[in-house]
Amino acid sequence: MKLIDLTMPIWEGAGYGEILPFTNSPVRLHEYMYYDKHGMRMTRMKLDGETGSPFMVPHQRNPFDPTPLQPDPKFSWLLDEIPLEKLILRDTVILDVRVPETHEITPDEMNAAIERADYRKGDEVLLRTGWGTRERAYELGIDYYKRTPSIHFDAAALLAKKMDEMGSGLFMTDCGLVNPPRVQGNNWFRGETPLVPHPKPWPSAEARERVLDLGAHRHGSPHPSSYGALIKKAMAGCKCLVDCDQISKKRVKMIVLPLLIKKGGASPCRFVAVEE
Amino acid sequence: MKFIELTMPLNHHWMPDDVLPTSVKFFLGPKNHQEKGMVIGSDSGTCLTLPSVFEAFRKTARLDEVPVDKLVLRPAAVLRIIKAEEEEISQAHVEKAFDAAPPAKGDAILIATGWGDRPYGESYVLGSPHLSLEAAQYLAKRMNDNQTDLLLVDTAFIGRPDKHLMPEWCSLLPTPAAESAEARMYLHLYDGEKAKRDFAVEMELARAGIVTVRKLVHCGEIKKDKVKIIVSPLKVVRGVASTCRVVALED
Repeated sequence: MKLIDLTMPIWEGAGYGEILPFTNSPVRLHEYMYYDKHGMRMTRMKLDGETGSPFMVPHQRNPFDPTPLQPDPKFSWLLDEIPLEKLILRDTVILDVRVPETHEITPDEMNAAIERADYRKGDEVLLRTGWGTRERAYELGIDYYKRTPSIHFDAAALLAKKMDEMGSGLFMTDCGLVNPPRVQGNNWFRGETPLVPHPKPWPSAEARERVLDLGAHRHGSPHPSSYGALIKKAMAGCKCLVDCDQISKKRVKMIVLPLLIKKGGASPCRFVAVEE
Repeated sequence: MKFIELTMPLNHHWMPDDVLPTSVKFFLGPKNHQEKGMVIGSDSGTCLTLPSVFEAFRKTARLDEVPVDKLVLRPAAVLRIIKAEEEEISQAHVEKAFDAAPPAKGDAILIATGWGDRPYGESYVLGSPHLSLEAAQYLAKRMNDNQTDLLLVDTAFIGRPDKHLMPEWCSLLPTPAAESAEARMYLHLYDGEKAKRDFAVEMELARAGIVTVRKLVHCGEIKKDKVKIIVSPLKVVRGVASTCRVVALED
């Protein structure tokens, strides 16, 4: 048995916490006990539900707002309600879509990946581009999220339909963003009027102004959300996995453990693939 | 296969474990809040602590360096040492439990006292059962002999910081909150010598290279003497301790 850790690490200044105005806030690690003074270290960690490799249910804004990201989602479990059987040693199909950076996965590419894969009823889904690696995330910073491959809405809708038919619950990917950067970062770091220099995320003045202009939960792009299409049919959406090329087989069992947040909707998560 | 959740939920309304100045209050911020996101301490809820938490062992592994097979699907032996509030686990208790259910080589050790099966109350931290120093020394030797380096307990502490931290902090009335100005002042005056005395038990285990996981709950639901466990801390770069999720798998 081989265990493969697919989890994006957490560190202060990580790109995922710096790139977007609102959906993911910066990682801040504050030491309040020190080796040199106390002989030991203790840390206060300011994270976000989307820190690292996140696990996000359809009702992601819980416990403060029960509105799901998309109306009438297929699943409605919160973090502390998901049976462990749905998270541990889950049969998972690998959907391989080898694409270069910045590429938006098309419906044809998605369809070909599904047809090539050994996709069985009840499988969870890991969409692998091979692009997402820990080293690349360390080196590129926020550019990791500007240059990441992503999923075009039509391809996401196609996969969501297939996941619904196959009884799949978990959607996982090594893309840094599921939505194309032009959609997710519209008029922030992409679009007709990106902000230059790149501003800090919430609670910066620029992020607050964006909320005034768009409302808190909108990316502001005229194009539909690929992630929205998927999360309508998934128990959870999980992005930003890394090093998935260490998986050598077409199918694995996945161990997926978010933090056990009471009535929570999103959490940093550990992802481990188990190869027999 | 049966899965058993051994994790204390992170509850933004109230946590039982943030009573000392060394702790952080778990906080969830709503979307429009200045502090949108979450605040977690090194030891919020069920938590894993590496030996490198101590300056003396800071050259040892960090959270992002711990091999995944040390924490995932790891065979573990369950030692049942039932204890009441504030009771100490002695060397004799550990010896008896080891002999009653001898672990296989490399098995992690899970000590179930029953403390984590009770409803949380105000006394969850201050009344927690704990290991004596002699018990920790004996346990470290038995674990080293057994070539194992992972210890899980269902208590709030491993030892009991009753030389300085507990008596000094609890003498302040009304007791201030974690992260208060009083807590910052207390930590400003708290030094390495005090920490050595308060955390002598934890340091003894760290000296033996043992990774500890504490504040497990519901260990009473484990019926067998051998289980597999999954421990999933946050993968913090160069981190030394983290809240974590713990699940037992029973065949």
